[in-house]
Amino acid sequence: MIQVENLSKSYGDVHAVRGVSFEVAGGEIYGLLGPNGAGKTTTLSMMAGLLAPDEGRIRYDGVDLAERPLAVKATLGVVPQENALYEDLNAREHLRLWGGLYGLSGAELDAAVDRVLGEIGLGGRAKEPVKKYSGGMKRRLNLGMGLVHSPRIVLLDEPTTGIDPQARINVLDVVRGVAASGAAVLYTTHYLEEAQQLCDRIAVIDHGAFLAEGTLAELQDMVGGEEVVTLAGDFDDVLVERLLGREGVRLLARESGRLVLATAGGGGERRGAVELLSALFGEGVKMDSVSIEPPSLNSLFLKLTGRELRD
Amino acid sequence: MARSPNRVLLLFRKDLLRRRRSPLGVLAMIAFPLVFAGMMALAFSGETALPRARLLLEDRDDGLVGGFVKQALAAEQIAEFIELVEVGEEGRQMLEDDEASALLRVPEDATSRLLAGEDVELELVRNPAQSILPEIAEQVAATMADVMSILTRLVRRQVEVLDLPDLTELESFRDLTDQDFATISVALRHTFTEAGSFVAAPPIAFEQVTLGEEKRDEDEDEDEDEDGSQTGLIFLFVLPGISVYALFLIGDQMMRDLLEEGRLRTLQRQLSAPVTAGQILAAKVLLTGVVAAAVLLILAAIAGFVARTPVDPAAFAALALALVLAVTGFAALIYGVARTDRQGATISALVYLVLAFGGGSFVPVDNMPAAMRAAAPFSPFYWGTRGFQDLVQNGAGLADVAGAVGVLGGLGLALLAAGSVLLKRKVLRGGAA
Repeated sequence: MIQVENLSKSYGDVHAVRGVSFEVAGGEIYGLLGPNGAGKTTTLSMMAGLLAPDEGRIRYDGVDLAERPLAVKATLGVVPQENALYEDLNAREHLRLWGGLYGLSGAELDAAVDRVLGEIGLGGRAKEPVKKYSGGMKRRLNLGMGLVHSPRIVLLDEPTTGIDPQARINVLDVVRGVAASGAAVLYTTHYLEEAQQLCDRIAVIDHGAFLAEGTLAELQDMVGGEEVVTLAGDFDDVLVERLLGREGVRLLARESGRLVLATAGGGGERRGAVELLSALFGEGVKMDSVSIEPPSLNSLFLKLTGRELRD
Repeated sequence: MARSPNRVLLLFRKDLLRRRRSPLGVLAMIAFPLVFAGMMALAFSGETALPRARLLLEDRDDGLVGGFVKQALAAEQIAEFIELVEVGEEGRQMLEDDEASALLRVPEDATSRLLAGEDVELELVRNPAQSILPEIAEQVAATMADVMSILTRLVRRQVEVLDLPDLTELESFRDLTDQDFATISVALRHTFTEAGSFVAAPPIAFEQVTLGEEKRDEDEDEDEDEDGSQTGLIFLFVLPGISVYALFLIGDQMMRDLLEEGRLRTLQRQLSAPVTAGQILAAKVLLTGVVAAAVLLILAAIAGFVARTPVDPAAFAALALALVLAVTGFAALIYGVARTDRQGATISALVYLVLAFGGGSFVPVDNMPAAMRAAAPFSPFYWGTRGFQDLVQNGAGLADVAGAVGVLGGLGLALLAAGSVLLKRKVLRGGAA
């Protein structure tokens, strides 16, 4: 349903998106996972028709967005990262407006509005102005506005940012329901857990380019069973050289006061990491903190970029 | 694109609903010209009555001088400031009881001494319990004394010319013959006529004062009607200019919303739906026009009610349409040029203030220097104000306001076209994430 080919966008010398390509099928939730500034929102903005790409093509059900923007937009449901709401209007008025803009009217519109109000859990407060809503309620309404017309393709830009765990569960449930109805869902996030729990396939993006793409299992395989050990403290070059001389230890990143290493032989027992730490303690090396990351998306991201997602 | 009109109306309805929920901005723009014009009318209509000093007159002379004093103080110009009350010996007590501002005493032999060429002193006793009013009484009495001094010199000359008995030797005026009185009367009349009504009010004026309270009440009613009419006239004179200014501010508010929506990201969200930039812009233009027209209708209805003259509906409709076009066009151009809504608000505030001042919205064009008078027609406020004034004050018809309609309509269309091009680009740029 969604076909993106070699999508690129630059702002002067800054390459926001670099040759991104992927496909999303109906009923699939495709995650774009990356830190802030990775290019997720720029990619989604181009896919929503809000931003013209420098290169590349975007097709929905085979129809090119650039050639028939209005016809394509009518099939999309877009949920922006920031709440785009009118404080003086209530939830029902928002949904009716957006349903109307997508061509719904009469009984069809009424039914759609009632359905979405139920899905996002705002049925009881549908007539209150948005300015009286909590952050979570606004987020859910923001989501509902993109779904009121039952779109076949849904683009969601970090829809759970800044909301409480309960509201997050509700949002994720709604997204699963949308995909279950057969819609193709593109979901951007910088939360590892969300991507792991929700997405059928995940693309890891950083600096505008895809670093890896696949199912969760495929991505975990890319980690190769290696654990990522992050050490905080002052480490001299001699010590680092000695650590890297150990079997199965690779350097991922070295910054001031921080050393990131990959250790082989995990297999769930974390043997490589344990052996490394034992050696360090044995030598009396002082460390401020130690963390061991099992094979995961974060360890993959660490492995690919030397940085954690939250950095 | 069969659904296009619906989307424009949907967006228009959305904005109208938002304005209804937060009506303060629009209501303020309706109230502003009414309050401003009302205050100006009250300030300049002269309805605020000046305080009158109560002056007691104790005429111990009962002769020519006392008569002069009474007549002078009863003159219409002085009666505006002084309420004259003739009293006897009780005057002093009344002053002590704070029943008057001052007591003026005419001495017993004032007339005889005056005619004998001696100086006469009028005694003024002020009420120390009052501050301003006795001052008024004193000023009036002093002025009157000056006038009487001049008058005395004139009369004295006439008496000297006439061959009359020595007035100072007479025990009473009764000793004068009818011929003496006639001669004196003719001489005095001749002198008074020369001196004018300021020195001594004509006898007919005296009669008016003494007609009694009934006549005075009628006069006061007429004065009140005059004051009310004057208030209305000033209100109607000021209202059109300020209303036109308020209309431009309304247009500014409505169009600014387009950029505010960009800041709030709702504009981008609309663009992610199957809605074109042109439709979004059309909805804002429609909103600006409808709200401005509604405000104009309310202000015109109030002006028509005050003027109590029927307003030509065709002329009003044509002028309103042209004015709304100008308002919308200006707002579109300003916000098409401005980079942000705040910048637009600053630009429009300055531009509108200059154009309104130069166009005669605040100060009548006729009162301006020649250079400003010549430049005034280049301001749309000039045409709007003039057209509105003609409608509500002079009952102008379509032909009378055709000039204003043509200028405002043409200017409005041109500006709206240019502004729309700029705004459309801005809307599309606003869609960039």
